[in-house]
Amino acid sequence: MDKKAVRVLNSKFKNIKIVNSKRSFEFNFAWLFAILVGAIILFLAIYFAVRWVGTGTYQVSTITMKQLSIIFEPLEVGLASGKSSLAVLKEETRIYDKCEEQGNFGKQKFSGAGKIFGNKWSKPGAEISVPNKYIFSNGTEQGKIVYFFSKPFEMPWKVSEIIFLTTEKYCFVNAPEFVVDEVSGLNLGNIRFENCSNEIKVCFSSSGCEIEVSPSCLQDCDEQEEYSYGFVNKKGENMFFVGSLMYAGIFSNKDIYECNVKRLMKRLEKQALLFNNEINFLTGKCGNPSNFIQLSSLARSLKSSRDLLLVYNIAKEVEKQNEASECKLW
Amino acid sequence: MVKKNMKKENKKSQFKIQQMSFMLLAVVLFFILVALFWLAFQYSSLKKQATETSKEQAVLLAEFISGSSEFSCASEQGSYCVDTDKIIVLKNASYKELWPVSYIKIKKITKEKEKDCNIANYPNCTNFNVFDAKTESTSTAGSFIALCRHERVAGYVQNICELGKIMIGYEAK
Repeated sequence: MDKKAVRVLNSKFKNIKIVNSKRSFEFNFAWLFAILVGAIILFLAIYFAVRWVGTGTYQVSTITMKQLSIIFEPLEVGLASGKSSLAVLKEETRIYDKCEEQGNFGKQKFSGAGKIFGNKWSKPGAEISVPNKYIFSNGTEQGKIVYFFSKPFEMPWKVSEIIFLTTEKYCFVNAPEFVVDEVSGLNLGNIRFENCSNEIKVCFSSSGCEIEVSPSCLQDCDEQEEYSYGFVNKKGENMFFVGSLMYAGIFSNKDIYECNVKRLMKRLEKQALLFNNEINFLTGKCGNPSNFIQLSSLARSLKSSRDLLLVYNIAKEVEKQNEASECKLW
Repeated sequence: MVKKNMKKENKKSQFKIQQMSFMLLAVVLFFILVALFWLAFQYSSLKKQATETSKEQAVLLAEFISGSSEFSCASEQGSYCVDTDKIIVLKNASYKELWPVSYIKIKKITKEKEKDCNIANYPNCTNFNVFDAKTESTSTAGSFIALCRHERVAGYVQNICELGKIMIGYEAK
């Protein structure tokens, strides 16, 4: 026998020995099939579990935002000078606020995100559209406690409530007395006036803070009239305000602020036309028509908050006409 | 003999594979059925929650809408008062975009026969249809309010007020 034949025989003998050994097993098709299908089932189970967690978070975020949007409704102040509320969420949530000025009235869209797998934020849930409220925020707010408060925005009638949404804490430095009264009256837990520490500082008629409020009415004005118009400086950008928009400048970023001011002007434009129609309808019963058309066209042509003062001046004239009229429209 | 044995083994293997395939099919079908059941349950509870949320929004809107300038009377007349002189000229279709509801109707509470209001028959009418999006399957939330209008009486302008109800329609999903 040659060497090759011996080697083959040895090898065959070894193979037979391995197969017949008690510790060996045959890796047949059934095993291969079971492992393959098992792997596929495991992969699908993990994939769907991850998807399910994602969908669940999306659903919870969307429902939370819808419920938050409902909180805005009771913030309608009626004849009150302001209202406040707070929402304590189950877990830390991110609130995304987008403002769109397109359309007849523009709208705001809110979406939320929660935390998944430790500190990772989930994708934002569905956007909840809010067409009839004007909510001023920093664009992205994050926290477990959400503070809301609302003030009427008058030009010269109440155009709408403006709502301020924040999760941050603020400290007002050198605040005028009427601001202290208004804010203290609302019992807000996130604004203090003394012993400032880590809060965002807001300086009134002074400098050295992250946010500075500068009044522009400096002659023949009492303290409240002094702040009837002016500008808020935040991160080097100026936001011009009239009336209660001062708070909007403090609590919101420039984009949300400018967008909401344009939305408010769209609402004012439509309301001025409505009052004009009403006064024309009542001509027989009441006095001369007021200057609503001019107010409406000025509101329509507003390009930025810088033009607010023009609208404010006409609004003051319209207010005087309403005061003098036999039929008070507001 | 060897060939016969191999044939027998092949048949046995084929049977095992068939058995496993049926088992897998059954497992997959079971999971699909569970998933379908879960989806149906989730869908119905989500629909219920959506309707509840719409209802809550409509109830709150019915309570507070009279405070918005498009409806409210002069401040001296207090809250929960709707100025009907304003409502009668409020025929701007764009307002549909402002209130996310199916309809807003205002009804005078009176023994008179119901009549839709327009400029020609005002104030001798009962129903003001502020807007109607003509949505199918709607439910209603309502709130009682005062309906006031300006009237010249004995040479002076006076506010005449009557009892009314504001009705907000919302989509029942």
